[in-house]
Amino acid sequence: MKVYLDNSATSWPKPPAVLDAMSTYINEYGASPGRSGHGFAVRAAREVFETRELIASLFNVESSERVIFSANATHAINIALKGLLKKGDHVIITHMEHNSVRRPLKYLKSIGLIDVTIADCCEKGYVDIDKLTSCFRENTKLVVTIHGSNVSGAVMPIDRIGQICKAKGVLYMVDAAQTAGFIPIDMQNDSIDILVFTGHKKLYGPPGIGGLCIRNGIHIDTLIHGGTGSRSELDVHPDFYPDRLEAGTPNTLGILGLKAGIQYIIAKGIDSIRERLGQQTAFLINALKGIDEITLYGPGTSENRLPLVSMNVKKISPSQLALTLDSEYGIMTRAGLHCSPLAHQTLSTLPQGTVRFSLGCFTTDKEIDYTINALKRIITS
Amino acid sequence: MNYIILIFQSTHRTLLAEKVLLGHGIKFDIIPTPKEITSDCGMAIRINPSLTNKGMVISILNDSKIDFNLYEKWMQ
Ligand SMILES: Cc1ncc(COP(=O)(O)O)c(C=O)c1O
Repeated sequence: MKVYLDNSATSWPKPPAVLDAMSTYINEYGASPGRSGHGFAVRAAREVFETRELIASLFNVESSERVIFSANATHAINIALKGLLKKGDHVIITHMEHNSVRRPLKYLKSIGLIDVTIADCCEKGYVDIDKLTSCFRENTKLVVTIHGSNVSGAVMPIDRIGQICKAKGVLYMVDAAQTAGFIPIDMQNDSIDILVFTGHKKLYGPPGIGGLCIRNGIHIDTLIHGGTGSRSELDVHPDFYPDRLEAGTPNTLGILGLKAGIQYIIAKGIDSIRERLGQQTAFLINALKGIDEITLYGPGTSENRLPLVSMNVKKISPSQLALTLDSEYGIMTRAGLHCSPLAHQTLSTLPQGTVRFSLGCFTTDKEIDYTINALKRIITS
Repeated sequence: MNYIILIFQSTHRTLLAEKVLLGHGIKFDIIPTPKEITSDCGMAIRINPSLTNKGMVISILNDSKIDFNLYEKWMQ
């Protein structure tokens, strides 16, 4: 039996409609959108346009032209941070951030551009709102927080943080790599200025596509200048969106796969997906809770959390446990730091990290049962 | 015939205009932007003035806050 429980790294399998949309594009009309006016190019451009509109309605983005496509969340975060921050700016992040936020900020700090403060989190992975509030300075330009933790599964109160930032006149950027498509996000109601998503996790698109949504009135300088299909006679890059941040031929293939993935979760119902995965996650947690050798991390089952379980087994290293699960039982998990050493500092799981079991909307109850039994056998053997 | 050609800032805005105009039941087609006009973006909206009222199109686009440039062009 093969059991894929690494959906927080990337979801698998994908809905069949994702591959269908991608192969239809490649086989039937694979032209470059927005570069010409012929039939294929117009059809491709319409598909890209509709995908932006779909994403804008999913996250309640004011203008769909401010939905920008990138290669992944990491790329989108870099576009935003490096295009927004100027010398002397101060940025606040939390102790649960992924390296995709931590490292670009560390780099900008190392070249003397900005200063960064990291707000503490409790051992479950929630940011301490009072501590976060005390981090603000005169020159604070931006707060960046993860929405759902890829390590503990904790979900941050983004609406509260958004309110605080709004009251202080500071920009708020949310890393929704783990939550977009799983927990409803409303950019306008939650006072989010920049929302980063990735296509290949809970939006069920292919790898290689992600993006950012930018509130009206905020301007981000582009890292990359080049062809956009617009204003071609000028030697300066256009300043309007989305062209401003999207030079070069876009990943139409990925965009179309993403569109089909989003349509899939909408048809299935984001709330019902979350409910079902919540039940499966709770079942897994409850089954493991009673086992003495197992330490579980993150919020309890009654809390709003991601469909993942981070754990350790006494006297077995995470990498050894993951290897045994895979080689003897065909259960694929992820061991280690999950690109988030800061988060493991919060959970006190450095330097080894944890083993993470992450569920997706194709995970079956049978697979969960099988996994629980496998863990019990490994522990007693 | 003398057609009306509408040019928008970006492909995105052209397609947004397409969506809005279709929603109002306006008849038009999408053509490659005629070279003599401008190269703002690769595609343009073409309207046949004998089928569609120009004033109505202008007011729909203005109501939707979609900026455009309007040209008239003789085409076969
Ligand atoms: C919380 C979080 N942020 C950012 C990322 C980066 O996403 P991507 O690998 O698509 O760039 C990930 C996952 O890898 C993540 O879990």
